Amino acid sequence: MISTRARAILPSIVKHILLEIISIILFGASLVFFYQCVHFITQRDYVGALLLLLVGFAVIRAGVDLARLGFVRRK
Amino acid sequence: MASTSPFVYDVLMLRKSFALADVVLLVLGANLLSTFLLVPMLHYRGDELDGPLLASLLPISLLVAGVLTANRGILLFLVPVSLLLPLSLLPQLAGAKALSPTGFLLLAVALLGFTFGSAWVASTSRGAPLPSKRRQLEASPSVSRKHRRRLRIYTLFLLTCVAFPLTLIYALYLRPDAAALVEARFPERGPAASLLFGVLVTVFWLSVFLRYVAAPLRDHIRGDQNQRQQLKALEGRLHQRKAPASLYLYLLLALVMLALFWLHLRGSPPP
Repeated sequence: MISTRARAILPSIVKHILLEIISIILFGASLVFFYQCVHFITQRDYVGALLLLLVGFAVIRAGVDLARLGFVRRK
Repeated sequence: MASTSPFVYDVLMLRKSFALADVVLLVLGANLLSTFLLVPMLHYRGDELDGPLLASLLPISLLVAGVLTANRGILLFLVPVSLLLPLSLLPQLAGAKALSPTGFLLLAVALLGFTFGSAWVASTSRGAPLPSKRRQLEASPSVSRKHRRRLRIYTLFLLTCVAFPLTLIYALYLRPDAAALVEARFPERGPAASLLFGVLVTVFWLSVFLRYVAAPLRDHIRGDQNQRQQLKALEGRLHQRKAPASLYLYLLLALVMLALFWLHLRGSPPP
């Protein structure tokens, strides 16, 4: 049996946990992009490496924003 | 020790620990020097070793000067940078061809050990007085929860700091085909290219570290007003059920760059 108060709080908790999980996934994804960037550098495909570097930075920034959002929601 | 005053006792104990710390730091530095320079020199088959041997006197003398003065600039910056001088004279001493994966990991451990040792010696020898009272954060349940949350954040930062460099080092040096790839792409300057990529990746990681780890931690320690205002503004937007515009902007940028990357892959011949 879930109390009324718990029912009111639950969506908020789920939301901030979800936001934190997505931000961690985005951090991991940026790591994959950086890894691929180094791989493309060693293959001398500098344009591809630069594009992947920018994708990595954009993804890590989006992760930071989501983590902030999760933090504010938790408060 | 009953007759000795607490102040004299503290001074004696601190001096004793500094002496021990100096010896430990010297051993860590010698370990780093031998792993990074002397062992590759011993295994190198060539006659051009006079220059690098002479150049390796610089990091040795800097190490001794750093340990004696406990100067953080010398220990944490000049000593590691001076290690690159012999390598710049003979790049064959470094890179994927010179070190096996196990040797590389040993070198990484040596470098980390020296860095932590230097940071510890530099921070304890500043003469900063030790706090007379220590607050037990675990004592109060409300503070303890906050403390636990902070510990979680610091642990995540630590994991990020381990995962990122390890992945980049693996991609550059430890992959089974890394050495062969660099040799095939840069037949005449393989070791130099490998060294250059290492420096570029180090600069890249340092910029990410300073921007996304060191800066937030510094703000966190100082209780930065700017950060608080940003969080308040974010809270205000959240009340209006609006996500920050920068989030959409960065997601859009990522998608556009991915689309460009896909077009680039379609346009270029397979490697």
